[in-house]
Amino acid sequence: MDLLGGLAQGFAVALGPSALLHCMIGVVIGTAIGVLPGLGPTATISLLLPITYRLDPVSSVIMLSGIYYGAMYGSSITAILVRIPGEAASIVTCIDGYEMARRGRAGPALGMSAFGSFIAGIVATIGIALFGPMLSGVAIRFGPAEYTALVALGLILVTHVSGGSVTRSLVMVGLGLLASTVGLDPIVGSERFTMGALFLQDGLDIAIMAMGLFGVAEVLAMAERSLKPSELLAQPRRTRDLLPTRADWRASAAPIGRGSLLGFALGLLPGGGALIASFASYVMEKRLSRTPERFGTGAIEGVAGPESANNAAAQASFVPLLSLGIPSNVVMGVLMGALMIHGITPGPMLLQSQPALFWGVIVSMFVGNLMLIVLNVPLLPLFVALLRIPQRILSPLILVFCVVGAYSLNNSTTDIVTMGVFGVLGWLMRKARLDPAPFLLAFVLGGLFERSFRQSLLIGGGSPMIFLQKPISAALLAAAALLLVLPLVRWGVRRLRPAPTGKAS
Amino acid sequence: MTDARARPAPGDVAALLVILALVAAAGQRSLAYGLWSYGEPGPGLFPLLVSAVAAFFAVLALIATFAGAGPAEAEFDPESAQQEGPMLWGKIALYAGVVLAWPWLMVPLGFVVSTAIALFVVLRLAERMAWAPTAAVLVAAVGLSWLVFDRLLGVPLPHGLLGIG
Amino acid sequence: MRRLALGLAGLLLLALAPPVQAFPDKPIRVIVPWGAGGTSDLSMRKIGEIAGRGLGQPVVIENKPGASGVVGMAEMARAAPDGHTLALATGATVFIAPNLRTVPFDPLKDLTPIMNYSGSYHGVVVPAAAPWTTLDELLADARAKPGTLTFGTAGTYDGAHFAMLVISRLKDLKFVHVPFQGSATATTAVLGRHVSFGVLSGFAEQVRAGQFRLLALLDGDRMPEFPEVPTLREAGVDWEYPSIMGIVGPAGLAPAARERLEKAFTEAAATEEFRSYMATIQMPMRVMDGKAFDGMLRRESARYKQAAVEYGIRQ
Repeated sequence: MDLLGGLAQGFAVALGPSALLHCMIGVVIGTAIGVLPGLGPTATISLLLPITYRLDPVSSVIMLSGIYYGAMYGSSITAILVRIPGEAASIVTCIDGYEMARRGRAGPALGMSAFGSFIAGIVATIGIALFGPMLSGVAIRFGPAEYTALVALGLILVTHVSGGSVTRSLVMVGLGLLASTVGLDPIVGSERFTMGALFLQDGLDIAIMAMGLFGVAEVLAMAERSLKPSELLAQPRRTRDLLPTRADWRASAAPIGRGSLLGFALGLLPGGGALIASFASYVMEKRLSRTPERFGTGAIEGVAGPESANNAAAQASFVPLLSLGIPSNVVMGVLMGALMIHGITPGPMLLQSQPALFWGVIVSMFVGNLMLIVLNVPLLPLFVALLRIPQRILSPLILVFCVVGAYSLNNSTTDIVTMGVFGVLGWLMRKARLDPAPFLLAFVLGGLFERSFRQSLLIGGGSPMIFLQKPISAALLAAAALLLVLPLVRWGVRRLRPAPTGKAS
Repeated sequence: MTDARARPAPGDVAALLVILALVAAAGQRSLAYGLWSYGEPGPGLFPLLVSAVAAFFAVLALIATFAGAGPAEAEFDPESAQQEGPMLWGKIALYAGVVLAWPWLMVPLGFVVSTAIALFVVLRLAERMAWAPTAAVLVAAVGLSWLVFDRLLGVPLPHGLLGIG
Repeated sequence: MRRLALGLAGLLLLALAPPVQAFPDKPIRVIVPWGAGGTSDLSMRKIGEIAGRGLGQPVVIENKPGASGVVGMAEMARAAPDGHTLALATGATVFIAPNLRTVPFDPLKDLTPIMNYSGSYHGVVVPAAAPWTTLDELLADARAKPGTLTFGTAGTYDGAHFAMLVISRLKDLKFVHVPFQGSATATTAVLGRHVSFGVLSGFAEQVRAGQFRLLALLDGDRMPEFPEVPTLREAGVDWEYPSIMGIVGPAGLAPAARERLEKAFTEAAATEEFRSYMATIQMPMRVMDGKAFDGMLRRESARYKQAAVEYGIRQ
């Protein structure tokens, strides 16, 4: 099947009335689910699986994938408005998105997040259409050694996310990595730091910790002292004033482009692709910016880049599923189950045996992203109006949602206890001026890092040479080394050649 | 804020010391897990290394704090710009207490009753809201969350010993 | 007034009368100790839906994942043995976990087996480009180059890893075990030839597409789809990983309730609706009645316990 023929078939399928309707239902449910903390797309898709029995396979996958990327967008809504990341991939959005909202610019932040996701969606759709079948090999090329190198690179990037001192964020990176070792050892299977508690055997949950460290801690911080009446968040009311301005667009255009490409590339890899993409994009924009000091205080580039990246990654993660039968994350695993219910096994033969499904789903993502814009831009005033709820009502409501959200993950009150503990810890961290963002990001990467590092050593017979023998991992490690050395070199150059102002920093 | 830069903030020092104690304990446990066996890294190696990293940078941060190079207060406490007056320790304690006690109440009392109690404490005692709005917010919040999660989304919220909800 | 009095008297009578033994008198809760959406969860939801019709009460599925299913299984074991709380048991929870660590339930004392309906196949797969065409060739190669062949599994101490430990012991071989997270990532690693071979479940599609060659099954029986592939026993290794997927209740389950449940679930498993559903999600049918299930649990638990002690696997 040639490309144009495939795309034409895809449009024919995705624009059919049933596909359109289910795409719409999917993105609406997805957005709603993304807004509710805890209850993520995995649980929702699982709950809705029985409903899809009666649908044809194409419509059901279109609907379920709509839930997935709709939730990605929805989770950035809460990240921006109340600093609760609905999904791990929107942790980064909490930084500048929430700061924008606090400065009365919730509208442009939400708008740019939607437009950025849309543009990233188009880029990813084109990418999949052009290279999809070819790119399927990428996932296979990534073995333990390659992952180790990729995560090493990611960990170096993490230290640049925080706005504060590098030393302090490295303390948090260390603690985050330490937290990731709680539970069963990934290779030997022995217990570590579980203190005999059964629920700690599976390790700490990222969603629970994120809700505690960001959402609950924010509520506590709000309760600290009385609000200045004069500085109550002034958000404009008219939709026109809520949309990103021309200056916003100018600032965001390049980050969206770069974020989309980065997200697409990393999304092809099973595992932490979407998350690494989001903060890699953040760090990249901060590095490239002429005014990096604005990051952390409400820079729109810090929303546009990561949001585009995580959306592009979410779409790219369909490639390994549809072309290899490899689910790259839990949501894809559930989607695979949905396909199998209909007697379709995703795998290498899917593109030949079910071209309508493959192309229909790809094109429906493009359609669904358009729907997200059409639905959400008129809703901007409503979302922003949430910020006009008085703090003393909003705070308890956020708590209720966090508690139910934490409970719904595993139907367990233990998770609420954990969230509460991390909430208090998060507040203490803020008081001690320690940033929870590097902690969480390092936590997510830590598990993957240790596992792939030790797997590589097993495969390499205990010799670390395996990392240099494999070309991809060698290249990634070289990039990581460069990132590590570059600041030192720059510092050295500055030392040797006195700056014109004569100020040594 | 300028004086905060000049001398180390006691909270800062305390936090870093707590972290040092924590990673020291973790490092000690890691040794017991085994560092190296049969030519392969053991379960304790990675936790020991990351504890060392955290400890190393915590010491550096301590030195920086005493050298007067700690970060500015506003950098990590964006709320402070919009808040005024003294710290409301009682209010924070109530909020924190509610979050921590909530799940323990939820098992015997069920979701509806425990949430109503939690909201009552927060709204009435922490936020000093009048009776009527307290009741209105309470009923709306409990009712809506129960409807959405239990009925609509099928989350099996705990019913408690009373079987309410 | 008289009507009211009569009504009240009737209510009183109802309240005083001993409860009629009409099991089940409320919805039956089945704890699936794994996350929603997996094949075990899907199959349980379907058989529960069908059995609920026969029982006259809905069967409600509750996902309680954690610690290889131990969290959910322990909660079920603590519930009242009236038949209204059951759990889905799989090999990882009842054979493997209790023989590795201390778990808060005893698979032999704290469970009442009701019936078994499925269990996925595990197999030894090699990449199509690999030189081995039979298990014997693979094992011979491993003997020639001890400690160089690597194999991927879905995780440390799953049934597949356990089986390989036993094989290495029985045949005096040395393999390098590389545990992955779930069978999907292990499949990827075998496809990308990052490991020499894999011992996994869920390989059918790759075998059909010609990317994998299936050398042997860990199960006690051959797979209908690949009838020429032998089981471990047939290939000369005296070990099997009996994949189970069955319904269990707490210890001391009321006999009447147990029989009623066994009948309802066995009938549900026999329906065409369930069979065709299982075929589409590619799960085999392995129906065992309560007695056979119980016998198998006891036999295999004992064997696993012995192997765990003998080979120094228990921690």
